[in-house]
Amino acid sequence: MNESEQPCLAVSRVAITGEMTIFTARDWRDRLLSAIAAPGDVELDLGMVSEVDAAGIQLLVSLALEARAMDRALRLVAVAERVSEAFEFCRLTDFFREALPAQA
Amino acid sequence: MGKTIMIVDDSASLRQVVGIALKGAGYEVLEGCDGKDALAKLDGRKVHLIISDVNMPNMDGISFVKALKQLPAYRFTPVIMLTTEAGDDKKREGQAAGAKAWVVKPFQPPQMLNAVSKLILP
Amino acid sequence: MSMNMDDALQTFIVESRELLQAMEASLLEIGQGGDDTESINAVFRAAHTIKGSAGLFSLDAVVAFTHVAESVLDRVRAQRIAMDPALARLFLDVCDQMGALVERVASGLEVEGALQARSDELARQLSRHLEGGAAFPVAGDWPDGAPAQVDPPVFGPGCVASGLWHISLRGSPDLLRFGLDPLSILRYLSTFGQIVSLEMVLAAIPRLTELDPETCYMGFELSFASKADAQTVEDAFAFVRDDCTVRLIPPFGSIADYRALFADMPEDNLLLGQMLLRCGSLTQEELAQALATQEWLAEDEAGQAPAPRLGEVLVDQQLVEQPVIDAALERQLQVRQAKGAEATLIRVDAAKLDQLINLVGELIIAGAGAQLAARRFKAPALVEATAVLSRLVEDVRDSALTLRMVQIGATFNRFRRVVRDVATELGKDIQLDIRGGETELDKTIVEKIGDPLTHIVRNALDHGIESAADRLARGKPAQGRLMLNAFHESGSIVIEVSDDGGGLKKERILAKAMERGLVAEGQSLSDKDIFNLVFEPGFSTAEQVSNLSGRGVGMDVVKRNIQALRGTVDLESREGHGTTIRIRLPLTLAIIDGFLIGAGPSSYVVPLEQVVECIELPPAEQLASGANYLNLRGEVLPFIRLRDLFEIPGEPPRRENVVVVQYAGERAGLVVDQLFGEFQTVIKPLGKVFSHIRCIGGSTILGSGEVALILDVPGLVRHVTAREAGLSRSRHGSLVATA
Repeated sequence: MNESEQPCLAVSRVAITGEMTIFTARDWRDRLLSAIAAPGDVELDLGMVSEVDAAGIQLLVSLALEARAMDRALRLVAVAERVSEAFEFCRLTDFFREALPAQA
Repeated sequence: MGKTIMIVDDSASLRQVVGIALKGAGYEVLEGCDGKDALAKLDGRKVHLIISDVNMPNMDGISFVKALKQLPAYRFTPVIMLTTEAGDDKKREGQAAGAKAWVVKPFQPPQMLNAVSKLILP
Repeated sequence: MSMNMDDALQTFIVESRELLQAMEASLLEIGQGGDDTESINAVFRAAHTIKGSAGLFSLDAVVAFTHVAESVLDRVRAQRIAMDPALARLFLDVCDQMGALVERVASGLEVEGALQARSDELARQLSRHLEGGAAFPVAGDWPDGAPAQVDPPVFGPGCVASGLWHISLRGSPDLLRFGLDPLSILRYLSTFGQIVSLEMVLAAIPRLTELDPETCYMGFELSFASKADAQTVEDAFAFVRDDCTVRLIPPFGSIADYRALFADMPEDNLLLGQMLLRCGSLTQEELAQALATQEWLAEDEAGQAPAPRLGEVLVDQQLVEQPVIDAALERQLQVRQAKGAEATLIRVDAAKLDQLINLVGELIIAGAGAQLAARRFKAPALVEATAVLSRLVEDVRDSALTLRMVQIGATFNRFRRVVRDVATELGKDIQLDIRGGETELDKTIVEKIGDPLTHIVRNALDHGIESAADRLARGKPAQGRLMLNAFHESGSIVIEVSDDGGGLKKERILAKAMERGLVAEGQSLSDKDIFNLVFEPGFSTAEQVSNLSGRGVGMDVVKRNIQALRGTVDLESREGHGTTIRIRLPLTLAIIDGFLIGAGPSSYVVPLEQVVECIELPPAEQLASGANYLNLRGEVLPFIRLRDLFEIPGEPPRRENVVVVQYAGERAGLVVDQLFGEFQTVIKPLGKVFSHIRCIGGSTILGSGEVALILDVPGLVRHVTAREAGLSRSRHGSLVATA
């Protein structure tokens, strides 16, 4: 292990508002890329997502894979009903369990 | 907050009946009586799905879809083409232009609702 | 017709009158010199529009007639026939007739009598202009989407046991760009069936830095229950046919279909196989068949065609049972967080963990071989050394297995949401209690138990717990209770789903079972037997099938999924007080402590945790003649001879032994030639070779390289006790016949 790899307390936070669909996938991808390029954990606020489709779900999976590959924690700090429905439909709740907020 | 569907057909009664069925299923409905009228009415508005006839005066369905796919706001919007039993080549033309779904005329409202629900979530 | 539709019909009538006027004007222009193309298009458009709109109002007489006119006009437009003056005159008559039909509609009367006769006459004249006088469609001929009944299943050789559709879908890169959302298509399936399980294929999705966010990398594997016909299921995918790879395998589909699926899909067989198992579309055995046959075929094509040796096939097929630990990381984290010991953790690649478990499996086999060799050479130092070695290997095995153990709490917690949503939907007030969430079990099992558990929970919510009004009337609290519980018990994990609802009604189950021919008239059954009838295929007692759990997926599917995990399920119920469904599962799927026994030249393994004791079989003269039971300290112990069960030829030795096994409270004896003692067993799944043998749960490779079969104790106990129960009943003369 590299000695210089100190735990970093920085957090990049991205709030996704409006639709997370094929129409906006490219824009959100760019935002997420810059968030993950910065050091520290990534916090994603999905509480204000109004609409999500397969492209949106794919984007989230890809982000999770990136975070995992870079050994970066990904946290979903809020998840709109539509998004959690899509997770459940795709049986992805387990895939995102690490990132999802703890259930009350 | 229902999703919005635009129906483009030169028959006012068809638009009316399809509109009733779609509204009944919780969608908001915009109408256009041909391709040209539809493009003018869209004007950047968020629309989740477009249903378009092929045979229309002024601008037919195929030209309309081609124009639509050039506009950033609608380049990924799904389109249902209304085709006829004999209109297989029109269907292929529509698909090549980017309208992947179709409903064969004449149809009953439930058939249209089925096609719609294959494309967008309620 | 509603107010709105009435308005629309008025619009249709006005619109049609205008169109017919325009049509008449255009027809009169034809043949007047100049280009007729525009006139012909206008005539066509009028007919087309009227037909399209008339269809929406179900004006079948108008549609049928206009359809013929439109077909002829279509040929005119395509310049396959000419619009000569005679045809133009005919169309003027057609135009008049259309007008007459529309006016009849306007008057609110049916099209019949002379008016219909005139339609038929003109249609006949028009048809002459169609090749071969093509028949025009009978009114109401277009599809109304009414699904036909599914064909009764035909079980045949090479067919799978799953009564569900299996659907595989892989999006083309451009799928999303065409505005096609696979999630919408899949949700649409729920309008005429139920997605029983679903696996999203993530393998092709790249990490963010390499992602084109508009390209589709996704795929889906799902099992789907529906009574709709094949056409309906296929039509669901009509729009995406060109832009997806879609494979639909009907219920009870053939192994060959699945083999084709493996060939078509880009994922490697291991990954896809695991998904099919998790979907419940294939059992371990069927999967082994699909893959094994594929390997054999490949060899055949290579021209070598050697019959594969048994051991090779079994070892090759280890790929079938390798656990996929794709999300081990998340699980680990979760367990750690629960224990608040985050700082001491490292992340491990799931594949590495997998590899470790496999190596441990191989190590155990090699260790057993060394021990065997040491004993054979009778070198005490070597025997001792190998004994120490195997003890250490045992420890390594245990700690490797704990890496795969996860708590069931996360799975249980998922049901909080399910219970809340379903209760809301049903208008019931239901409280969920979770106990034993810290109970650990194998990750693979946790993943696979989710779907059966969901089904059971939904059933309990839907059919088990009564409405608040009924509960109050019965003197119960208005709020219903559902409890999920898990605990360890003698080498198994037990998961219980209990409700305090109405319980099962014995008489109704019995009546239904008789109606279905599951039980013979006058057959006497214990309460337990009666309750367990609900796990029989096609059994459903709900008088009113709701959309939650009554979609044709019965408890039989649940039972089969659990059995595929080497588990069992049974049910206890008290009418008026509630129901408990108890699932019993092995702790792990990969390695067990076994007890090695021999019969004739063959070796067998019994899971040690299910062995109670070993005794010597009393000499034949002390047994009741021909009886298959013996007196074990005053209790009747039914037994079975492995020699009989597996048809092993030759004479048994003078002294035989009985291994007493126990499962779920029932005991049975296995008569064997020899007892070899404890043996660590790495389970290999069974191949096609053994698919016809009952009571076998898998196989293993002995240290000597020989193959030993692993006995399926639950199956054996069932087999023996059922036989014994049948015999005892017929001894008492109360039962006419057993199957």
